[in-house]
This record gives sequence, C-alpha cells and structure tokens, in this order.
Amino acid sequence: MTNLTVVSVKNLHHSYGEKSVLKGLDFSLQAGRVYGFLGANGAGKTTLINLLLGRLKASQGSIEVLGNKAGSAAAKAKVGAMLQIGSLPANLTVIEQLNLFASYYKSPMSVSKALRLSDLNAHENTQFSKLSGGLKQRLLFAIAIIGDPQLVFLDEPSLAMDVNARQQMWQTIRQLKAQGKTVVLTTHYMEEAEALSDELFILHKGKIVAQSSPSELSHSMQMSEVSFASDLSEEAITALLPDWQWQVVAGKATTQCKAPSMLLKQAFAQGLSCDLLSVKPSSLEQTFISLTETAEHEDTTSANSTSDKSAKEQAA
Amino acid sequence: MSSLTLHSLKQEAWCDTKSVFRSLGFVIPALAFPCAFYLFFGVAMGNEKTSSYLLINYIIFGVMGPALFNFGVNVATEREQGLLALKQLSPMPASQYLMGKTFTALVFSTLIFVLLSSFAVVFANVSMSFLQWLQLYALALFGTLPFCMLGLVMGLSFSAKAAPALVNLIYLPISMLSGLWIPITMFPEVMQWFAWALPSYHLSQLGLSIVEMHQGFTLSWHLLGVALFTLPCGFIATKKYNSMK
Repeated sequence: MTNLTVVSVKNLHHSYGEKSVLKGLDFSLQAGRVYGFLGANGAGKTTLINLLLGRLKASQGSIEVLGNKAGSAAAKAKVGAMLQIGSLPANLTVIEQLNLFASYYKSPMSVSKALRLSDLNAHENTQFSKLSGGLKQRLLFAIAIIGDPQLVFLDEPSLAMDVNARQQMWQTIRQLKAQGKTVVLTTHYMEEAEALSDELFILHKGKIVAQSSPSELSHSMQMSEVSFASDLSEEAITALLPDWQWQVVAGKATTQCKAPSMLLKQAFAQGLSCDLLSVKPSSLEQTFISLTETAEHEDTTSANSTSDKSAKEQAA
Repeated sequence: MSSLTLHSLKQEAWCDTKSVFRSLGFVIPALAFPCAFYLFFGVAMGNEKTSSYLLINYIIFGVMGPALFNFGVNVATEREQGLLALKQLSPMPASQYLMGKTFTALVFSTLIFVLLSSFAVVFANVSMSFLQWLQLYALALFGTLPFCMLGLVMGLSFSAKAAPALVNLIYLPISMLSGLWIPITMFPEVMQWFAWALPSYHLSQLGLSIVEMHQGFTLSWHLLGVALFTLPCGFIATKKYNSMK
C-alpha cells in the first residue's frame, strides 16, 4: 500500500461568495503517512478538510480520494473523520454509539478494539452526556476509526484532551500509520504536528506556503534561536543589539536569527557576558511564524505593487 | 435488502428509540397529553357516541406530536450539533436515518393507540369489531407518516432553538383547524375549507369512516388529501437533506 496515492488534489479553488478561501492548491498524499496541515485561524484548513470529505463542492479543480470522487459512497466506505463539530445522542452509552457507527460499515474494526485504541474501556457504559470534554473527544476519535478506514481525517483532534489521552491518541495514530493507513491532521499544537507528521503543509490565506517534513522545514528557514542569561531589560538589549528582536523573560534574553555567529560577535563586542548561552535550530512554532510572516509580507508587497502599477497606468 | 443494511437499520431504529425513550421529559408529555385530553373530554364528559368520535380524533392528535417533535426538534438539534454531519460522512444511506426516526414515531403511535383504546374500552364502554380496531391501528401507523415528513422539513429548515416553538405553533392550530377537538361543521365556512388542506382532517375522516361517523365524502378524496400533503413535504425534505453538507 505504501507509495500509493490516496489523495490527489489539482488546482483546487474554493470561495464563499466573493471571498476566496482556497487559491489553487496542488498536492497528493501517499498511503502509510501522517500529514499535518498547519495554519492560523481562517487559513483554509477546515474548508480543505470539508472539500476532501465531499462536504463541500469545490469552486474549481479536482479532488480524488482513494481513486474515487470525494464524498462518493465508495470513498465514504474507506474514510473516517473526526470533525470540529460533532455531537452524539446524549442518552446513548459509549458502546451503543460505537455499535451503531460500526453497523454502517462492511468490515468495521471490532468495538472492543476501538474502545482499547481510544482508551475508553472504563467508560463503555457511560452515556455521552455524562462524559467529560476530553472523553467526548476520545469517543469521536473512536468513531472516526471504527470503520477501519484507509484514510482518517482528524480536525483538531486533541482539543480538550488531557496529556495522557493525547499521548494515547498519538500512539494510536502511529499504529494506524504502521498498518499502512493515511492520517490527515489539522492542529494548532505545534508539538503534536512535529511529533506525528511525516510531512507538513503550512497554509496561509488559502495557499500552501511550505510543504516538507518538520525537520526539513525548520532547516529550510535556516533560523536559529539564541538565548543567554541577562540582567538587562528588553529595551537595553535592543539598544545594544538593534538588528534583532529581543524578548527577555525571567532573566533570559531570546531572539531568532539567521546568522548567530554575527550576533554573538556583536554581543561580545558590546561587552555582554552571554552566560548560559544556547544556540539551537528554531522551533517549528517559530518556523511557522516566520513562514506566515514572510507570506504576509509578500502578499502586502504584491498588493502594493499592483495598486502602484494601476495608479501609474491611470495617471498615464 | 442486504444483511448489512438490515443489521444497520435495526441498530439505527433501536438506538433512536432508546435515545428518545430515555428522555422522560419528551416521553411523558407525548403520551400524557392525548391521554389526559381523552380521559377528560372523551370519558369523563362524553357519552358512548362522543367517546368513539373523540377516541379516533385523539389518536390522530396523539400520533402527530411525537412525529412532529422527534423529526422537527430532534433533527434540528442533531443537524446543528453535527451528528447529522457525522452520519453523512459514513456510508449509511440517508433513508436509514429517517427510517430509524420513523420507527420511533411508530412506537409512540402504537403506545398511544394501545393507551387510548384501553381507556375507551375500560372506562367508556367503546365497542368495535376486531377488524375495526385493526383498521384504526393501521390508520394510526399510516397517519404518523405525513407528520414525520412535515417535522423533517421543519427540522432541516429551522434552528434547534426555533424548531420547538415553530412545531408548537403548527401542532396545536392544525389539531384545532382539522376538527380534532371540535367538529369542523361548527366552524365558519371559510375555516371548513381550510381543513381540506390539512392531513389531520383527512386522517380524522378516514378514522371516523371506520365507525361511520365521517362527513360522507368519498374516502379516496381523503387519501388523496393525505398524499398531496405528504409527497411534497417528502420532496422538499429530500432536496434539503441532499443540499445540506
């Protein structure tokens, strides 16, 4: 199953009325891998998931899911999903809900396995209304995998989950991957995306601005995080080293830079002792911020140049 | 029907029924309302003739409520909370979800028929042949369907907050204007004509024909009246369900 294309997206555009939400996406997803989609609120992640699930019809472009049209009966039989919305009948127990959803599929996972994988064994006879927020999320996750799908969409799956439940879910996602299944994950938790994803897509205003493995993504930005102990205030350090943006928290000064050696040379020249010095590659979170800021800057520059050009044309 | 579909359909119907019957706040009023009305107007204040007349009308009134509310209010809530979206993502056909809900409404119709008939026999000495009871039960089941369809249209059209108020706004006036509480012959002529547009009036007439108390119009007109209400509702509901993502 590995190297088999499970999702193929070509020139995908989507608009809500006048508002363009996705702007020409092209990508494919392979079997047996975990894909993370990152983006700020409104970047288009949920719209993309809804299009891949066939809940929305694309304004333009094509989507193929497991060789079928997105949302077709054949695709539905092989796809599982955990959406941001999703409530279940309040008065039915965990096991009743799982039995119900399992009955929709030809070859579902056994209910006992789904309970185990979502760590819900102790709650199988509890009604949905009596579950905590985290347990409800776990049940929705169990429902997403009960059909034993080849492709699983998880839209913000670990929201409201405690640390143990999140770790359990991560383990299950890794197991699904090991079985050759593909997982598409959207999340705001960078550590989750980094820990689970083989490949990350960073969406910004409806465009893919980066697509790579988490480590490659961090390296591609060639950014480093430099920090050292300091008694100085943020303003004082900025005055001494004005080419970088500094943050001082609890006596620790931190900045992101492309050339740490140059920064350190200047710091020593300014007489800073730089005790407890640390230089490491930027975190995924910092990479994400840098990438989206760059994309935002390019958008603004492009918009400005377009408006300048049209103003000149009008003047001419 | 494949064994998978049958198994899935049984699960759907059983789960919906269990879920609804565990909500006592829904079950008790749905059953108590028609029973209390019948015991008061049909038994305590009635005679042998009015007891039979009101038995039929209160059975129609009784089956309307759970069908309208289980579809109108519960579908609106399930749609808004995302349950419908989860079900639409599965390979389960839409018809199965609706059949599950219809089964619940039919269980309520059966309970209402049994309760009201028992009161009629025990307290009001209403007497009918076995065939007449059977016809009345069949009518109670058949009469559930137009209201399932109307409830479905409402559930797919209105928000979970608006649906209960709107269902109440429709349920009680329809009951009155159909002559379920007072014979429509006591209404002004314009209102009598209005009753012809309501399925509950036609169902009431079909029921009353079993005990030969109907107004005397041909039964096929009443069947046509029910069909002309149910089919467009079914068409609108299908359109709405399919366009809803």
